[in-house]
Amino acid sequence: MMKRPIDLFVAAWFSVSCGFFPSLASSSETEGEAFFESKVRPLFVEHCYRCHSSASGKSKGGLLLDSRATLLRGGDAGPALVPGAPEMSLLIQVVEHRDNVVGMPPKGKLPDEQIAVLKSWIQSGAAWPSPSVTDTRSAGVATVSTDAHWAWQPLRKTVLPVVRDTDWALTPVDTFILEGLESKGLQPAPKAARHILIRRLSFDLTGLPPPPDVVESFCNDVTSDDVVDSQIERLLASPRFGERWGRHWLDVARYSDSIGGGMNFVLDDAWRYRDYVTAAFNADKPYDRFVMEQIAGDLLPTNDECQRAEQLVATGFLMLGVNELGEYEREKLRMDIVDEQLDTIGKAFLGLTLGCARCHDHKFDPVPTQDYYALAGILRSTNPLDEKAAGLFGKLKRMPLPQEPAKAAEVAIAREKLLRLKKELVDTQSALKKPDHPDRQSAENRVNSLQAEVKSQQATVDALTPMALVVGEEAQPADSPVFLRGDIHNRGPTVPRGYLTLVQLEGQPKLPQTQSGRLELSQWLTHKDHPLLARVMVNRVWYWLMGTGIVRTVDNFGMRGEQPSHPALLDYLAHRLIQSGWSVKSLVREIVMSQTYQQSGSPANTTVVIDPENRLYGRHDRRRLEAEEIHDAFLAVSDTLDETIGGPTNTRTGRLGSEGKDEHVGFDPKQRRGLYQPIYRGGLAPDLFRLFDFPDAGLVTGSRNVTTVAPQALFLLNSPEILNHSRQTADRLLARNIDDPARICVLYSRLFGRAPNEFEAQRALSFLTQTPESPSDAWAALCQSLLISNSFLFID
Amino acid sequence: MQHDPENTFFQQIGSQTPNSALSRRHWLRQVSCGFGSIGLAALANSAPADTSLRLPARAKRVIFLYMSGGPSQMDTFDYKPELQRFDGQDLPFPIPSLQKSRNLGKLMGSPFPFEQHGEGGLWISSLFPHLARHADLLCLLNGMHTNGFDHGQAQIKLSTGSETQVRPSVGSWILYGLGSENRNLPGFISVCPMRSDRGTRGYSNAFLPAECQGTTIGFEDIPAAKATISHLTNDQRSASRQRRQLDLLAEMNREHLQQTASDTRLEGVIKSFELAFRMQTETPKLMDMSDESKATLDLYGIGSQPTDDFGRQCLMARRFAEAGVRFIQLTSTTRKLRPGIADWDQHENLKEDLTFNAACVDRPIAGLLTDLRQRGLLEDTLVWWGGEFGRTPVSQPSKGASGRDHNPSGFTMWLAGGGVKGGFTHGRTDDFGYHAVENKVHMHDLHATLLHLLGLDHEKLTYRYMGRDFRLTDVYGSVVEEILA
Repeated sequence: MMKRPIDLFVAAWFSVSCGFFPSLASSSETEGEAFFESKVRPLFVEHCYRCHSSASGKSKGGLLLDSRATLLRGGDAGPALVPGAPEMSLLIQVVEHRDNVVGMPPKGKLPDEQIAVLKSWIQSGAAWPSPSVTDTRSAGVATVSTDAHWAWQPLRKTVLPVVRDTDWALTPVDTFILEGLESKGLQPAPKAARHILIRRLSFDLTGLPPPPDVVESFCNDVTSDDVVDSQIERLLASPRFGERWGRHWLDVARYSDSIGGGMNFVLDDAWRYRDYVTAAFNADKPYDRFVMEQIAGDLLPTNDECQRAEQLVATGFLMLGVNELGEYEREKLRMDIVDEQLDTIGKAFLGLTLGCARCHDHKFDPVPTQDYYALAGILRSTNPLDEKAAGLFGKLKRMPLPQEPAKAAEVAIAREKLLRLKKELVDTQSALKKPDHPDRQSAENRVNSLQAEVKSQQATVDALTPMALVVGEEAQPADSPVFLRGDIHNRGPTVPRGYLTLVQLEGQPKLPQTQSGRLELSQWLTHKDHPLLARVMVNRVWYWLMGTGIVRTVDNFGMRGEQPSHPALLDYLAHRLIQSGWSVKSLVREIVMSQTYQQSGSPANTTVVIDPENRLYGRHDRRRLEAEEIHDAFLAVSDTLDETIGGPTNTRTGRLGSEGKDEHVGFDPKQRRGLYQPIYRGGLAPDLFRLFDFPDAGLVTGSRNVTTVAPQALFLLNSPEILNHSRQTADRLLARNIDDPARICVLYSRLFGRAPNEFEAQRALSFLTQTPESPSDAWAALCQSLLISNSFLFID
Repeated sequence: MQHDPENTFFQQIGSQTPNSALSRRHWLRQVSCGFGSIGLAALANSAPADTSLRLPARAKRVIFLYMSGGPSQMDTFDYKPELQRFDGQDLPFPIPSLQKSRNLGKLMGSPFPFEQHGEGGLWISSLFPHLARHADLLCLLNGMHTNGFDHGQAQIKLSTGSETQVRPSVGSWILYGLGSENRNLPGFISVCPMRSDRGTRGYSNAFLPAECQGTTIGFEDIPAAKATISHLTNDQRSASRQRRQLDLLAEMNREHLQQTASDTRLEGVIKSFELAFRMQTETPKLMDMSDESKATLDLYGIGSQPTDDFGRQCLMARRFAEAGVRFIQLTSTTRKLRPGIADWDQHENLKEDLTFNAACVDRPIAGLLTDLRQRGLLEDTLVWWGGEFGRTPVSQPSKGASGRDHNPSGFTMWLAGGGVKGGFTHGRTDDFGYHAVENKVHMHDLHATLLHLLGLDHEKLTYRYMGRDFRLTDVYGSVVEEILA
């Protein structure tokens, strides 16, 4: 066995402490200084310097105990030392482990004698021999200016660059891309083959493979370019567009059907937010409006109940995070929720990691803690919790949605009937309590039937009363204190509610005293001059279509994010988004209509050598189907996809994973699209989703991972799900009155959007015949091989 | 992809092991053949960076014996004579404010007698007679403390270092830091984990590469005898027919690959199918215990009750440890064995239920220690026992005053094997066992120590995500030097 750490450690500390004793032998040493050297310094060295000295390189809590000056300045919690006043010195409060301070040392309280030493040292003026060690914090470390970072600059007016090849570019996007390629002496890849293009467009815009009739017409019409354009219009107008693109947004919104954490309750109404998002993309709701509704839908004016209901549902965005409702300490729970909301708002809309500033000024971006708590005040004045809920644990607020007058009248009638029934039940029961009841038997029967009626009428009323997760306003909006190191017991100064000082906008709205300020926050976010909102969104859309963002770190535009590969293109697209009235569909159209998007995946060899990562977009990046696309594609090709749009899809209710507390609702959405599979936090996602990089529903996920691991192959080979799809696909083929070669043709065109070549057809036939299996088994095996092949699971 | 290929720990390790026998190339070849490590090879293309990350390792793997619910320290490993003396009286100091709402009552002495064991004189209660014989292997951490008054926070804290946010699990960090030792097996296995979110956080990779995710074998409500890895078998197709199918698939995939420039992802998929096919034969062999002797099965209490379930888990752990799995988590949930019992969460009926719980695990754990030692595996295997928090020395009148409430401010975990002192007690709670007061070890400190023992510096094992370098220990944690052997 090796003998190591302790000795080394002691040696290291000894040398450190020697370094601290420059004036030990000095004759000018006063009594106070002698006391310090003999009693106090050794104590600091033994118990404190490991975390609070320049020698250790650590200043936890921002505090260094290197010198009198550093103690006087103190750390994040303020001055550590008040000479002459031990009671007022934070140093004494923490070593005594008093309430509301973080006890130090963390491993355990010092012996009383040592605390007495510290007190007496401070009492007598806290003498410290000079010279003391250098205070590293005043050693002139230059502050790196972060003001010039590209992302916070206003959007630049862009001018189309001049390119040599004047034939290739069809759209401004192409001109920007071509300029980049030409600057490296490269050329774009040729246009993709038709069958590849239709497959790519179909999956990218709707998440589904192209229907067989479309494949046929598209491939046959070789003469006209219009056919591409008309297919694009068809796909953009399809309700499947909103399902595919809504799911993209749900990744960003860390959507889930259960709250997660220790109290993993199913969110029975979260689906309304999901459907809101889907509908918003289908209706091409202006993106700025979409953002405002999610932040402040409850505070925006409305024209009718229908719009009001829609906007209320949108605020579900603020409530879908992983929140630990089991937290006993209500204020901590509230601030944890605020933190989750701020972190999500920052990443989703601004590409900023605001959460970092909860405990300390952001280390890389110019987001001071003050700004964090200025925003936190807004969200702390917003309440996502049901304050009427009893018990120790928190409960998210649900509220009935407003309804059209006709519907409301219907509910009123149903509710009236319910009240009537309940009253009769109570009356009958109390009559039964009297000893001289005339007809006990029939009254008891009546009680039984009334109980059943009440239950069913309650269900009727519930069904007629849509509920949603909706945030509310605090009765008394208030500014938030800074909580030092993010600890709610450690209150610093209160900061007025406000926005990020990083983005100062002309005429930005003033925050009201009587409301939380969310409405104004939403106006500030969507201000026409905001440098981040449009840039972050166009970059997301570009990523969702092209496979990599112009800024590859799609959720981080800060100093630690990557630089844009095409800054002018990014700003051009941002302008276009704003000019189009924030139309996401127009943006998608503009990109997919470009030559850039329609390139093949096979470029000239030099392109791959010079630009291996395809930062210049000189080819189209191949991508694997995402989990939902795999799910949907298998259902589609076996003709078993249920195309119902929206509605509740939860299979469970109550608290998950806790024995006896969750109920299966008895509803099975498996044949529905992947979008509609309930996403419960806690690893309860379907295997296919879990294995194929479906994002963790607790994290804002602007870009998904794409991993290749053996359990995926095991799943594709052996899971009952895939075996069933294969068999169903086979059975449908066998049911058709055609011969095997024709069946193989049908299969290839359905799966790959093309006919098999002669070799492929022959190989498939011999696979079917050289086997003792039944035709059904042999066909199932063949279908499975094709379904799990790279040609099917990847889009070229 | 979110992860920054310039900053993956893998290649840093791969590049900087001048003292080890593994060259970077060799190392990469090893991992690129490993279970689920195709992605790692893809990650490890770019230039190596820091070369000072690895410390001398004392352990190569960890077996974590997780007692779900929070075992009571005062009834197991933290002897409190004062608590016995003042049984039924008031606690002489205030109950922490956050627990007041639970209506906590009087001091409750332990119903279980304690004795000292081994040369180290470790105090162990009568609940663990078999384990007590191994007292000189144990390093008791009596001064543990953590965050979170309820299971959710505390268990997620234990598993990930954060009680609120979504972070990678301890095992995922370890696998990320060290890679797998076995080419046909997952590097991180969790046997019978809880199904709830707080359970799955225990093997979640969060933002680390998917290769670092734990593979589950069964779940909390599935008997260990029936626990298996999913999708390992195919009841519709024989191996030879599946081979034919795979050959066709491989041929098609190669044609597809040839149509384009080289693409490592497509090559990765092709390899992953071959690996999957091998796993189908290898893994069941490892799970099959029919080659174990009767003596071994008896050692673990397999075939007897109530030890069979955890005994099987422990034996699996030894087999996985032998096969080179880095992080193995076992979960003791006793409600599957006796309905109505609250696992290790004894708010009530403590005497009877804790007796049952201990009986379920005592012999299996002792058997595991014996077996690991006999095979020379204990040298470099760290065994870690405990729950998410401890319990209060006072009883809970609302539950009939027959049990104890949650208590994160003082509890006991223990370590054994790989690089820690045996027969050693570190840390102390107050006279009643409520708060850790001396040589306190926070969960972050324990995490830092685990990584240290595995040769990883907890301040340097970082992963860049969303522009920030994340650590298992966040900004906390220091290595508990005193317990290192």
